Amino acid sequence: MTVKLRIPKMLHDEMLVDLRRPHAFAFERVGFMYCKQSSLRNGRLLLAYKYRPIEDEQYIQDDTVGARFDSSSVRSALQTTLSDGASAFHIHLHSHAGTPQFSRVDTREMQALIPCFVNLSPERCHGALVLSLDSIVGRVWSVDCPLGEPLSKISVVGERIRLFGYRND
Amino acid sequence: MISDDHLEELRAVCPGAKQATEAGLDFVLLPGLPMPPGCSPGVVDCLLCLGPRDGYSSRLFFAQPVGSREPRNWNGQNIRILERNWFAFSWRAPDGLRPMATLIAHLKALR
Amino acid sequence: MTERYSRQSFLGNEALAAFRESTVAIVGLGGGGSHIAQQLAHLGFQNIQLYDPDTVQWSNLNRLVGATFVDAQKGRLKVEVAARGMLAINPETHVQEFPCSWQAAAEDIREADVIFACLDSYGARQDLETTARRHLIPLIDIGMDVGLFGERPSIFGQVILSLPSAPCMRCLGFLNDENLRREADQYGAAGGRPQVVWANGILASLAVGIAVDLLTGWNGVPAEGIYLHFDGNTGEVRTSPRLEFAPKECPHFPPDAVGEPTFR
Repeated sequence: MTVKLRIPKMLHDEMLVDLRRPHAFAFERVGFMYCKQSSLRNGRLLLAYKYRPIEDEQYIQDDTVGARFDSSSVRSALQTTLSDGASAFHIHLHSHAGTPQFSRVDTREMQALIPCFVNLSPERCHGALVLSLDSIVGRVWSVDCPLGEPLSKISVVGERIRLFGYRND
Repeated sequence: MISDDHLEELRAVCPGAKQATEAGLDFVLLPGLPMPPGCSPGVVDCLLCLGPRDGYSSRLFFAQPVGSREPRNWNGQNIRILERNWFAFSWRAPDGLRPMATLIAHLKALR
Repeated sequence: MTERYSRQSFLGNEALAAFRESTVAIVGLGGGGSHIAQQLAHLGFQNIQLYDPDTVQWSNLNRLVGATFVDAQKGRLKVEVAARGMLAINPETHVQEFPCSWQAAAEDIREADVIFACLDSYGARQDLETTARRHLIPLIDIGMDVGLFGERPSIFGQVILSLPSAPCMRCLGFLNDENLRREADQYGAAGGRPQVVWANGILASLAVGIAVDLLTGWNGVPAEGIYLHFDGNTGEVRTSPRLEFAPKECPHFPPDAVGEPTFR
């Protein structure tokens, strides 16, 4: 199934600013981006409208990973998907230019996390994005695709339209 | 948004009535609304717009044009609102009525 | 292939890829839309959607780019004429023809990364902009008219960029209850509106330039708000003073008014 994602530039800028803030002990910051859904002739279109960072106190100190967060943050994200009728995307940043990649840890962690959102609201897709300073990659999970698949197209829409596809280098 | 009281009043004639906002205007979806006697079809999904739009202070949209005893000027064709296509005839209802009275004022044109 | 687009290399290394990867919708293939279609083909855009239910009439031949005497004789579909012209310029263009209103193909237009609105009514513009906002699609509106103010006709037109989160056509005062009411009152009474090829060409070219800048950023100046007035009598193009008074963030289309509508 084709799944495309559009993000308003203002929201994208907001996420980049937030994710670049240092944390007392976590190497990376994390947040959740929420999307509403629309149908395409051969797939789905996801339209981002909100971002909520994981709060400082919700991080757990774990030197083996970039960031680990507690169950209350996940519960809050799950609640938002229900209350808003939204799709949720886990967001984090790799602070370099160029196309980012899901690391082995990212892949493992997202495979454990995102299906929880699909189980809660199976009528919607949910997923994960990795941002870099100038690019984005993303994967999406659904009841039809429990192991996740790349997003067909990611657009950041504003006074400049940036188009990104999944790259597997 | 319209008040719960007004929505309940509409639900008395259309149990599935629910509301939404688009482009700053409030709409009430009225699925399966019964039409006045003599209309064809007898039941149609409707959308009541409670604010000024297209030059009308309020407007009733229909999922399809409705045949009535007195033919109406269906000057609204394939109007896209809330991700559906709607039809509407030219009719000016009085201003300042509560939602139920506005609905009745529009349906009166089909009698 | 490289030679073909060598004269527009100043647009940047990624420009051609952006043109090829984007999907562009042109709604209305009349005097303005037909120009736009031709220009997009020249630039190298490859994924095009064309929406127009109309056929070529004799009165279109004074301005419909690509339309011929035979097209009018046969009453050929405008989308067919536009597609033919685009494919003749670039056979690699993938053109989807929708010989219908865009409302009848609403699921398809959602695929567009940019929409050119070349419509001739305020009501139609209102609905198309709403759909574009709901699906986070930048919309570039063009239109021209000829008025009789005093002794001489006046040609005037506009190009408006409607970006998600930025002022919409209502914020800019272009869409308002007064002009929608006037249009509703005149329904059925309005005949063919005056249109000329050179004015359409100017407006279409400005619109295409805006789209190119959106996709390439070659100009280096963010296109946050664009509302251009064209004076066809003096040849001037000026920024509308209404931009200055528009709200910075659009109150008509809040950020969460996207995707399928939410009913309560």
